[in-house]
Amino acid sequence: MYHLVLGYVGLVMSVWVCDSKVMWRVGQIGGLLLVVPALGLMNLNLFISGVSGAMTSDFMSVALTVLSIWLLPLMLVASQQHMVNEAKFYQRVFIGCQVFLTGGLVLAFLASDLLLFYIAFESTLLPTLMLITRWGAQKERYQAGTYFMFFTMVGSLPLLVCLLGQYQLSGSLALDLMFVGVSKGEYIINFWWLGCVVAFLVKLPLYGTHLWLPKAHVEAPIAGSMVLAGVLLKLGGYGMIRVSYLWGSSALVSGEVILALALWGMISMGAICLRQTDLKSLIAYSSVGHMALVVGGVMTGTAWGYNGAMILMIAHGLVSSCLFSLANSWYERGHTRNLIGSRGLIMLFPLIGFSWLISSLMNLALPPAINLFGELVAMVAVYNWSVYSVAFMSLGAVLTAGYSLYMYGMSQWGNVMKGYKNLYIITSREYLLGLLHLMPAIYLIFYLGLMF
Amino acid sequence: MAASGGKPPMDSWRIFPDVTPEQMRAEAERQAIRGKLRAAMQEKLRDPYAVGNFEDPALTRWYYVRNHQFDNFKQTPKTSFLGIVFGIAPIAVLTWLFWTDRRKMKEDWRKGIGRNKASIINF
Repeated sequence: MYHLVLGYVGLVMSVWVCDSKVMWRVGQIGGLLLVVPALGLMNLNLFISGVSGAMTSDFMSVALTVLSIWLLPLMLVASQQHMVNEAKFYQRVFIGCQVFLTGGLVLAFLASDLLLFYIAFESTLLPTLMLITRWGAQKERYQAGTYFMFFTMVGSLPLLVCLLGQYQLSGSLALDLMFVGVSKGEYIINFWWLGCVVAFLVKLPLYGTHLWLPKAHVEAPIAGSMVLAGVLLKLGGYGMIRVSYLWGSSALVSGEVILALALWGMISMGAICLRQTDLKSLIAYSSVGHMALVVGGVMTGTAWGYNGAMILMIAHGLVSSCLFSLANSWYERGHTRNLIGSRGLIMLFPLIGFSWLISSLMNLALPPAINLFGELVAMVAVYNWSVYSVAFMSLGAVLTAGYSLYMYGMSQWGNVMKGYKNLYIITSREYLLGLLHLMPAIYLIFYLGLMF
Repeated sequence: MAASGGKPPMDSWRIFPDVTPEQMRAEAERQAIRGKLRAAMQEKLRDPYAVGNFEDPALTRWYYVRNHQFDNFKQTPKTSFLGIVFGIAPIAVLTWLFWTDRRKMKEDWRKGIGRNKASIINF
């Protein structure tokens, strides 16, 4: 597995030194080539399987690793157009940022030690901050970067403290330990567990700590939005699965508050999405709603919960990233993200309307898309946890369907907006983006055994 | 027509019998303003020398207001009420609901009873 991380080190170096005519291609093709070693790691056991040095690869790690590696060439392909007028040096820094970010993510997902995971987790913050604050489009990006940085850091400092305390007590932070026998039955252990989990709840995000997400997603450039929605949220989910497995039964308090926040968040984010006028903001709030169900699945502590959360994370990563790139393809032409000001797109760009349709339908968890299976499995897990949750989850699912259809209808149907001139045709680059996002998602429908 | 008195001068076919002349005149003025706005927009839309996309400043203003509501937030009794009813109370209610349900479930497990033994909803 070291070869994968070394591949990213190599890719950063080659992007840095290569000729400026080929740097985008080097990043894209190199990123695509690095998918191959990742796929070679794939094994389907749920917990620790392949081990090599400081890294481990089991199903969850590799699934999310492949997702983050897959998204790198897609991010580079998506951002090629809007970076055309930048200086070559800054373009190189941009590509280097994204490659470094993906390398950090791969390190995070393949880490077998919680401290290595924490270091990689924090190291992904800086390139994302650079992407948001330097290459975002509006002046609100400074506040967005601040919110993103501080929310995540304030959440993860307790994680560091708790991890170091755990290291002192048990002498090791390897992932296959169980933190039993740490302090039997004392109440302080609940704060210990909470400290470990808060970082990931902020990252996921849980409803109460979600303020950074709409800002960061909207103000980020397309590459930033894609990696944020596609992978960085999943870091939170993955971390929660790992840490809550480690705590197991020794944490006395279980997650009633967290699940209450998650379920209410699912409903209220669904309702907020129906009132959004900004296309990217709608997709960003929908991410909060989907991740709320992931939180629910993980907090139950059951195998179905973990499986549902995993499928949901993969599905949401692909679909949300696709929606962001489609929204960006309109934004590059119309320079507006306003839902009111972008109607009738299917008449202007019919073939990419297919991508819009498929990703909107997957977003609303239509069968046989994998989003549905993730939601179903996670819902069953949360229902098993408490019977009364089903009312809130079903309301949340209905609202999810509502706003997904609303977004598709408002953007695609209706009278074509006549105030836009020079709308150039959808390039094959953008068709490729849609295809590469949706092809794994559709493939996974037929091979869901990959997930179970 | 004006000499006949009592009938509004613009409604010769008496389609709107209970609209006063002042109301009719005010509505005509409003329609004139809207007509000028439409004409201005059509001029901008059909300008053959325009480059780039058409920007409607009214839409921009509306969009700005929609996206900056949080920055202009002010605490009033109404906003406190809304925050409590839609923010704090649902969380508190849900937490209490799940807490009691889970506690009952765990007690049932300790006693060896399966779940929902004697209830209408039996799974």
